[in-house]
Amino acid sequence: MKRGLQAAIHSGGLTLHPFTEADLDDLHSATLEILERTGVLVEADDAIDILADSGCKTDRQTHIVKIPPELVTQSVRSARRSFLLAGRDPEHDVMVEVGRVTVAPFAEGIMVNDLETGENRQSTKQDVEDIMRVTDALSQMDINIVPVTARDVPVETAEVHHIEAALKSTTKPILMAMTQKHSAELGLDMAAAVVGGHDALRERPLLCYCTCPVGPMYLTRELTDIDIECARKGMPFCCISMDMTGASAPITLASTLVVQNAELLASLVLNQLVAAGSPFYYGTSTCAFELRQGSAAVGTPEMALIQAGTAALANYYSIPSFTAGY
Amino acid sequence: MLAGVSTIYGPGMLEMGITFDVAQLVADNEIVEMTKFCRSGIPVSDRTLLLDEIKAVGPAGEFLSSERTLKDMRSLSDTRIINRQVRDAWQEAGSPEYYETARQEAKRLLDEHEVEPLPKDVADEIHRIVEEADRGI
Repeated sequence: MKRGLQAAIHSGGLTLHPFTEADLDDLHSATLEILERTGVLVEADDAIDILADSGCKTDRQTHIVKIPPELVTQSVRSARRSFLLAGRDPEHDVMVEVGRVTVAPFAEGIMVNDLETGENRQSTKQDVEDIMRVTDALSQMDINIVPVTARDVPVETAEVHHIEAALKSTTKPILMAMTQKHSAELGLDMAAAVVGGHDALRERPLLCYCTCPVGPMYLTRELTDIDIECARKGMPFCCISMDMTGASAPITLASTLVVQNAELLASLVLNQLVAAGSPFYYGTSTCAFELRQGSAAVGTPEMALIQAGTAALANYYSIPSFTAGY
Repeated sequence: MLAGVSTIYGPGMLEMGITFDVAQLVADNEIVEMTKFCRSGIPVSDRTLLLDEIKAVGPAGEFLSSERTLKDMRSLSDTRIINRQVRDAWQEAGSPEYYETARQEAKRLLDEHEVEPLPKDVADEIHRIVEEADRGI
């Protein structure tokens, strides 16, 4: 079992506090107001049913769901402060905790620089296996991740191929993007085959699925399907907002954090309504849109501030966070 | 990292998340190690102030040959990809480039690092699920 490096909320060592307590209260209050009065758009009817049954105001025509503050508070309280991501080898187990830092590679690339030729080419299933095996060997990579998309397999089943490649290539815990409910179910069957059944998998979750809302404040069917599936199966779920300041979010960083927070808290509410205490990662890959170039540049001071701000908000809520970096 | 995020993801990726580079991943791994080192800060205590050591060596002495330096030398950071040699030594070693060093290390890991295979029946069952999914398209 590995625990991350202590940070931020502990004494000693270097820490960064981007907000005062009053700032955090303001960001939280602004988000509650948006969730209660503006609402979020929820595409799938089954997700709307769950939210409506628990007191959200829903409009079946527009799919707008308005979430009362009490429900948000209740979900923030029931969410876990820490949860286990299991490795195939228990020595690689990681306890994901508020305020302790762990590291994983980036994910969802569609190209690679070929290690032999240097050529920039489309990524393959073999690349998924190779990169995950290198990550398995690297001392500072606590968690493994499906790093690229296999573009040499059918696009409909690529996520299932990713799981096979991942389970073969590492004994560390595995994070991966997931968008299809059927693939998600098959993936849990595959992981269950490794640990000896679905009950064993709940005890030792080898996989954690990651899915993104669409900014601003749109919870797609893909997102709610995986969110609900993970909560039902007792598996960890990583919700990653990918807003862009000046494009899918307003032009200031504070308002971007409010829009993102509304997306993440709405996903959390759904997750916790399905099963209170479900392991939930509060995640981001939000950046500022480079309006002059028309690109989603990530190596920017805005990106760094947004990631730090997201971690501060997650720590304020005592929910484990997941942000981009390096 | 300093803000206390539970998991940071990012090593290995270039070009706004489009291109993954495994040599970059190996290089980033070392950067992560160094940022973790910084994050640990400078612990101040009787055990770290080493007043007896300072007094014993005294003015105009040196700490290179001290027992204590030898004992704890591995507590300082170390790099394999970033080159810390002076120019003459670096040139004598063939002037290794940063990216090329990372690329060679990635190739070495790919050649040498073995992951315990899944038991055959489990691998077969997993592959059967994949084939069935492909047939269902």
